Amino acid sequence: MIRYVIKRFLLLIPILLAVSFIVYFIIDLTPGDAVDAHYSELSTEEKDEMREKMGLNDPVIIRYGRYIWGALHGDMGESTTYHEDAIKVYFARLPATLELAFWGILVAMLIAIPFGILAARKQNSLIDNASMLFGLFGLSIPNFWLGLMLIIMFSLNLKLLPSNGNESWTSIILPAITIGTSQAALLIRTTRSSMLEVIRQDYLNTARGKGVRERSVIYQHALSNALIPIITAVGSQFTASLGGAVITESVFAWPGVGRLIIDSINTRDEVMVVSAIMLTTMFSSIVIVVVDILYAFVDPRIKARYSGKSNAFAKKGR
Amino acid sequence: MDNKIISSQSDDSNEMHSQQEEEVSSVSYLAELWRDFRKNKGAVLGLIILCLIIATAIVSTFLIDYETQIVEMNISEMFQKPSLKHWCGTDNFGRDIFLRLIYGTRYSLLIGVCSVMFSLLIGTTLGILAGYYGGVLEQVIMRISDVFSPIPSMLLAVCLTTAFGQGMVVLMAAIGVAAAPAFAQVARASVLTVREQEYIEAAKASGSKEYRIILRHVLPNALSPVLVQATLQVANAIVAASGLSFLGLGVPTPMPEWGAMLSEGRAFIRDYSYMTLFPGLAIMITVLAINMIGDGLRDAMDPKLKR
Repeated sequence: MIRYVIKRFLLLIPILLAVSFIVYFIIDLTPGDAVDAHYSELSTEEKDEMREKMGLNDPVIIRYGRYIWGALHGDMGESTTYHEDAIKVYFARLPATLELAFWGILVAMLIAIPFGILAARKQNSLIDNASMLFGLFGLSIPNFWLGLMLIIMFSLNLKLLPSNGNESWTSIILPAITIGTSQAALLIRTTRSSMLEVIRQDYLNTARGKGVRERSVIYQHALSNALIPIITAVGSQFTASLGGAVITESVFAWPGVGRLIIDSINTRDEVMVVSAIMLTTMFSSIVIVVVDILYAFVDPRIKARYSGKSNAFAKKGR
Repeated sequence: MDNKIISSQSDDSNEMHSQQEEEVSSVSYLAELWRDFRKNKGAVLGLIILCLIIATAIVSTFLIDYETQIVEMNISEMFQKPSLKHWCGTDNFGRDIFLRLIYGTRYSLLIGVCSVMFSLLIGTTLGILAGYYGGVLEQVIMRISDVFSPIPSMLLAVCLTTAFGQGMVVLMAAIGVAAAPAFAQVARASVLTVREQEYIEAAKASGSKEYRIILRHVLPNALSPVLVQATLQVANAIVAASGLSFLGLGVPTPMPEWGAMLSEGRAFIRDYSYMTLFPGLAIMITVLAINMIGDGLRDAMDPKLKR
């Protein structure tokens, strides 16, 4: 098991290196550079001199090499807008993003898992149809529009909740609902279909026949077998909101990483953009690996495969 | 599905005969698909709505003049609330929001469809090659896809649009590239199951050329999950495109793209909330219709639900 965990984390290294190169390369293609953005008053010759001094004239590979060497030593360069260490700026913004991601996924899970289970238990009932309708709408409503509509309703008309910023605890409510709704939509579908696959299996009837209470049939016997796709969905939704909350953060002026990236793009702060995307990707990759490892704990079949004991299943399952 | 398989098998041995049979069987496959699809009321409703939307996009080309009705400012009529004259009101430049929405339909549909074409072309091709040939090729392709998949797709699209500037084509390509790894994975998984089927072995044994096996036998049989994903991705792409436009990274102003209109309306949300209401509704209805179709297709194609 430990070997599996270590292996998964070691595999991350080449992927992260490649990701960083791609992001660095793409951002490098952006027209204009930091010199243009911040020393626009200089003449062309002075700008060239500046570039030479900052090493911006070197080929992209060399600059990337320098960047990654620095990154490995915990130095991703200085943000040209904030005049501070890019890593420091990123980590100053990270808690807000994590907070939003956490509350968002919590809202989603609280809605989706109970209703998904209920929908699967009572297939084609009113509650099932309502859940599916919710899922369909939740997937189809653009996040940012939902956010704006919530602002119109609760901030401007009812004046109940703040529409932007992160000053009081009430600030999180609207952004969390915004993110949570679309996540809940996906999750409710996953939960329902995953439960439906399990719920007709014979072993549940066996359990019932043995006199196990219905509640424990559903929540222990069925749910634990339906859990893997649900965990996958929760994990991928959480990952998505680490970096993908760009739009929601900008709707609610939420001071997180997403807005940092957009602001930095607008100010041509290359160092900041690359560092923020790199770090975000790193965190989301780590979450993906952690979710994979979680499977092993949830599903004894996967655990058996990596525990070193060679039983029949371990051989069959690659 | 079975008919198709049988006919595919026979076409290598008897070209003439199989031509006819292929036609017959593919018609019956489509007919069967249509029959299953039709049973799903939501999907049919989605299809009707989508047809209406497409018709709107086409008809608007002939009825609306871009220069005078879409981008020209009309200061005397700015900020008019929705009325019989202006169904959705007018914006900060006095332009009719309803007309702009109608005209904007084409952008969303085009971006949605073209970006998915892009993902299909890159993702599905690579996925099929990886699944069919396996080995080193598979390793290389899937590792490339592994590299792209942890980058949140919205961020990747943001990066690409900043790097290559604003515009429709960039927007399509950015969203298409960001979604391609997912297509590669689905196509590969689907091909892996098809590859082991006996009819592929039969085709190989009868000396069919590789490209022919892939195009005639593997592709059609592995396509269902890809097609469902493609439909749903059209919906996602429309949302993503309007999101990027909303951030100011999508189509340039004054094009009446829905996301861009939302973003313009946002500045006036306090007093003229209808400016944000209608573009969002337009996006939602379109996306809803496509999602309904996608769900219907998936149910119709899922062999597990057939019986």
